[in-house]
Amino acid sequence: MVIQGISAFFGTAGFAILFYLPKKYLIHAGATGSLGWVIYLLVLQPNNDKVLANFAATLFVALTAHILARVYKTPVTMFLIPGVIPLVPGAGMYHIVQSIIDNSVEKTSYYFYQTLQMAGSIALGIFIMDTVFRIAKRSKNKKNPF
Amino acid sequence: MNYKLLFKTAMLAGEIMAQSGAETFRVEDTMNRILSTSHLQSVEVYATTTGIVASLSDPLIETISGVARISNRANNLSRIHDVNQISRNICDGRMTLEDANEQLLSIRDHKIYSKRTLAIATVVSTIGFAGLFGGTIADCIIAAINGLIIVLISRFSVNLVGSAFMGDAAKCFAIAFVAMLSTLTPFQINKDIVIIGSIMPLVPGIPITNAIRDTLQGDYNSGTARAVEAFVISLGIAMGVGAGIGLFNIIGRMSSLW
Repeated sequence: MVIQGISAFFGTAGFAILFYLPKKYLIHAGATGSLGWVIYLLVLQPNNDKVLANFAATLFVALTAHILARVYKTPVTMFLIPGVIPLVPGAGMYHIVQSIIDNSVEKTSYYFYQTLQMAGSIALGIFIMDTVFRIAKRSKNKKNPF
Repeated sequence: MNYKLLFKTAMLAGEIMAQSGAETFRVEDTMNRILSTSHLQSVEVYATTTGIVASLSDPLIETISGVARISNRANNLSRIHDVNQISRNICDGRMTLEDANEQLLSIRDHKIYSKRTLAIATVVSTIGFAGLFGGTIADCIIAAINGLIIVLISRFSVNLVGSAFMGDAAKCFAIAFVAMLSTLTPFQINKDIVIIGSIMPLVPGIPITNAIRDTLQGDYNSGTARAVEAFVISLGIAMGVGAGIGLFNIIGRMSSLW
């Protein structure tokens, strides 16, 4: 798991450079992606539920991205996009293609369904964190929220 | 206050942000904030993934309005960051409009990573992603070769193939073919890990994230546009990988006949 976490750091940071992330944020983005992947593995091991693991990891990544963005006064995207990358179901996409080539309808529909669910869990994770931070911001702006 | 210059600055800021792959609500928000420093009666900004319309009007001045078509988009987080910083400075009054305009114009010439750094980053990320999915050292080496292939194809494909779709498909075709070839070597290569790790740098991360955030914001127009963009990129990747594996299988079958 340690090796996978370290690999995730380099994978995420390398990806971030491809999208021209400013140099000063590379380490933050890499660490976000790496910790997100470790959480994915930690949740995956006892439950063996990829969708749940992806959801938990996305929640963590989105939370970290929002906090970092507020600390450094920069758009959330800077940390959210690189951090989410290891969780994007590239593996699912590959398995779909492979099962199409193998001519297996059951495997194709299984992987298609799983990939959609994983993409959905990412969407849900980002949705929830965005909403939480927007509510927090709104109640801060109003003097008396209730 | 020079409203024409203010409007020009806001338009330029929005244009750069939209071209660099910022979320639509960020483009609108940034332009709104800059234009609102004029304290005029009405400020309207309408942005989509492919164009921006804005107008600034008040009984005291002649209405200023403009349209910007966003045709070529290239994801660039540092430009979003820089424009965001400049817009903050304008709104806090820490920067004059003239300076801001000049800095915005120079953002496009400002390259933070050289071609070589980008090439190294591609290889590092393919190695990293292969390791992330539990690859061995042998898997990572093949993934590194695939990273180099991505770099080479993206250098030359600018002139060869017109669209990004075909470029992605070509890269993935080569990746899948090399990964399949590597299984013929005696080093126990896990082709799944090599292929998945190598396609990860091409995966549409920015369109997916932006599609989600734009949709949540209520920008359904941009949300669907981004979702379709993500789908088309995924389709290109899938097609390339499929063709690569398919060709290898066909060659294998034909060679076994002889």
